[in-house]
Amino acid sequence: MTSLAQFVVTGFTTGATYALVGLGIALIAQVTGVISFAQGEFVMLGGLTFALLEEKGLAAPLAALVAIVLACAVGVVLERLVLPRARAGRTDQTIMLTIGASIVIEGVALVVVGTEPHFARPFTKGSALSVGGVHITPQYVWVVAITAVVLVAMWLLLTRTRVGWAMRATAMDAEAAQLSGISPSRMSLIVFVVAAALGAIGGIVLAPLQSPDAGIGIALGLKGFAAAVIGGLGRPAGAVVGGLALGIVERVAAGYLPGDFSGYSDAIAFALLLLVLLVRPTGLLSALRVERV
Amino acid sequence: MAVLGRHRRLVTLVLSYGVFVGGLLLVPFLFTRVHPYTMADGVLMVLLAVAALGLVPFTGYAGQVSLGQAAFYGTGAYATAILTVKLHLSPWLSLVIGAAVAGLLAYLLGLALFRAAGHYLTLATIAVGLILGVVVKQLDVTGGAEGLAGVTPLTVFGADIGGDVNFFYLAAGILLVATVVVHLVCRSMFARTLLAISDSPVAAQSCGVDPAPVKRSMFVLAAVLAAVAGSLYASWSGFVDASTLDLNVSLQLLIIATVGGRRSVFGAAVGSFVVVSLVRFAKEWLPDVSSHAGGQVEIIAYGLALILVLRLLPRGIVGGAAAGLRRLAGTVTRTPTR
Amino acid sequence: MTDDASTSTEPGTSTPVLRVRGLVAGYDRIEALHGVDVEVHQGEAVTLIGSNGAGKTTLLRTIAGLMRPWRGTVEFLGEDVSRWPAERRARAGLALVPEGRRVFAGLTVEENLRLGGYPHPRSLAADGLATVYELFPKLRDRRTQAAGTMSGGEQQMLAIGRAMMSRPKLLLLDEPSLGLAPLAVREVADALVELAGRDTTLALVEQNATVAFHVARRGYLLDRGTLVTAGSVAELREDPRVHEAYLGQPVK
Repeated sequence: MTSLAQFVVTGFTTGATYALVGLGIALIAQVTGVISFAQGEFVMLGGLTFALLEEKGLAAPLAALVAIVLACAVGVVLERLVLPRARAGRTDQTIMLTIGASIVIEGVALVVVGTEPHFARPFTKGSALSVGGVHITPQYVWVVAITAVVLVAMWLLLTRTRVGWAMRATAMDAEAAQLSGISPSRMSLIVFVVAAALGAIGGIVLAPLQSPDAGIGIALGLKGFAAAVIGGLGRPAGAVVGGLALGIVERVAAGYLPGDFSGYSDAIAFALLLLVLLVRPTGLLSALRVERV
Repeated sequence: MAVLGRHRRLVTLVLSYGVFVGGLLLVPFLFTRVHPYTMADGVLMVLLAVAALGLVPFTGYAGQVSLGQAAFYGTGAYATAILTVKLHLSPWLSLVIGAAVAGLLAYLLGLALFRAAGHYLTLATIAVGLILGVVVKQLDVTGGAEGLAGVTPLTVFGADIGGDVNFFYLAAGILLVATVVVHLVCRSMFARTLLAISDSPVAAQSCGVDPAPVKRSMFVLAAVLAAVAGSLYASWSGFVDASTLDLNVSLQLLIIATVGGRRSVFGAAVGSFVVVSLVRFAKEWLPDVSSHAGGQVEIIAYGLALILVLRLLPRGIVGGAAAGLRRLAGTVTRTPTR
Repeated sequence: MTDDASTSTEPGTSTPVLRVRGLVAGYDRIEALHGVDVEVHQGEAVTLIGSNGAGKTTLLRTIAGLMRPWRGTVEFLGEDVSRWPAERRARAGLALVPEGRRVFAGLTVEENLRLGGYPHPRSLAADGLATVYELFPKLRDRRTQAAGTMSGGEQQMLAIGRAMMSRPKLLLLDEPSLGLAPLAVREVADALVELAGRDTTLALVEQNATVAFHVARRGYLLDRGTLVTAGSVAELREDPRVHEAYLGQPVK
């Protein structure tokens, strides 16, 4: 029982990161219609930059800030320079462009930083709390707390600010939003920056738990995708729930795999993603937009 | 005029196949002489072209992005390795069985996947590749993380092929046959339907065309060709491990199909030449540039090539060149009449 | 032929609010408009009529900036806006109530209206809301209701209200009566008459000739992408070509 609770707690923590990545993917998909396979690279950029700067002796908050700014800047480059302005009816092209961008980002990180992982200290010192036999390290608390704050901030942004309304309006009907004076191009830029920041924050809070290297982007991006698809690409809240669920299921399943099969734990998240895609490929997309001729 | 038009099309066809075959025949000559190419690069180039060839109709015509070609390439490679090493079957029979298994796998995946929007396919194909990669590292029959060695080499009428140059001619012959097959498929009504689908799925659907079975067939064709290439690779190298299933292989194949030209059957070979050259030159020159990134730096070149071609030459090198030639030919033939 | 017809009813000689010259536009490779000239002056209510496929919607969408003209120009308040994106035109006061209403279904009535006022500072919103609620009291009663759950007529009022929130200098309406119940058609038509009476400059595309002639004072007849005739509503009512375009429909 204790081990189950421990798995759930650990899974919830990694799941929080998946939720942030998935939320970014879902927001981009809704506001711009672009399916971005580069989202995982922002997690890598955030986590790796943070860990690297921290190792060099920079104060953690400053390192985090630099990491987020860097990710946002790369997000701007992706949106402005890599993706074409007119995207309607060119899903395959935009998918491949985001794939190309993610390869380049990973490659540049490899050249600059190398293949070795880098280590970040937990945000605060202190020993793990033990609640009924379940170990909760301070970093777990940090991950969950920061994710919660970010999610609340996102919710406020989307429901309480003009920019948030404009983003939602663009997601619902880009043309009608345009007729209300909202620039889809500006919304696209904003949502790519927001998604980059979300990914970077996910990478930063995860860095002390899983030392980041230049190659983590693909797997984390896919897990973020799994989160978004499980929760329904049409709802931001769905991506969050999907991310937490994925984190927990992945950890619990890995924990209960018999010894001989422990090597399969890497495949659990992908198997889950595949299963969802095979069983309910359309049903999960709750707000499927009507394609225009 | 119509007769002339038909003649011109025939001439173009004969010319383009002539250039294609001529180019292939030049490879052994060049790759054994020009530094830093090796004949192994030549063999790999042709095998990758076969593996990527199926993506031409699938990506270019059906507008689908598959990042799971490596799963089928690896299926072919592992099928040949397992069947020849463990069951001592003939490599040719293993090749056929591997292709059939890959085709079946693609068909079953396609049954579920093509009901959904395009990006789900990309996701699902990545997931399949990654899962297979984990599985082959765990199973005994696939040799675990070490992989399988001692794959039976191919023979032709009982004779050993012997040497990369001879293997190249065999693989190039298979590439030529596969190119003709894919060309015929692309020329068929079938492909016209696909083109309509990729241009406007809603429009195609409203005309009563159900895109799912067409896309599924394309997916199966792509999988079978990739498996054949993987199988040939296993017999040629004599060794198979999980790297044949790697996401990087899928990326490489997608880039090959895109860079060469997503709507041209010759695009795969051209793209393959570009990618193999990138790899070779990166290995030759880049260690000097960057010490700690190992041989992985070439992926930047891949990524940039993909982005630049998609943005600047959306129809790929062959498509762009063909359009350029047509414009040139157009001005030449049109000027006298006006 | 369009020139003499339009000059006869032109109210003033000042710069028109909208001047469309030689407009050619279409979808993909199919040309839908073959060079159309239209003018709308300050305070006017103009209608664009014509049968299905005449190019009316294409004309409005090109004026609003949702489609790029192939040739020709769109001048708004004396400025050439042909290359402006739709959102810039909307901010400049060129509002389109699109065909099929296109309200933001997941948002409440008031959120929809506030989005309509997006180009302006928040402080102006209260004022705009008051005006819209006065024009459409029904919307005030439903202001917290999700727009998607309302009837077609109510959604149309919301779509018009949303456009009015941007304080447009020209209001374009694409088939506001389409698919509405007869009672709702009446309500919408009355609201448009009210708007026209308040000096709102508007251009209306309508299938329903009764509504079109009820609201507008002047009109253009489009047929297969070309302008056939223009004139006052009284003149158009008598024109056999108008009757032909509205085959089987009473033109009153």
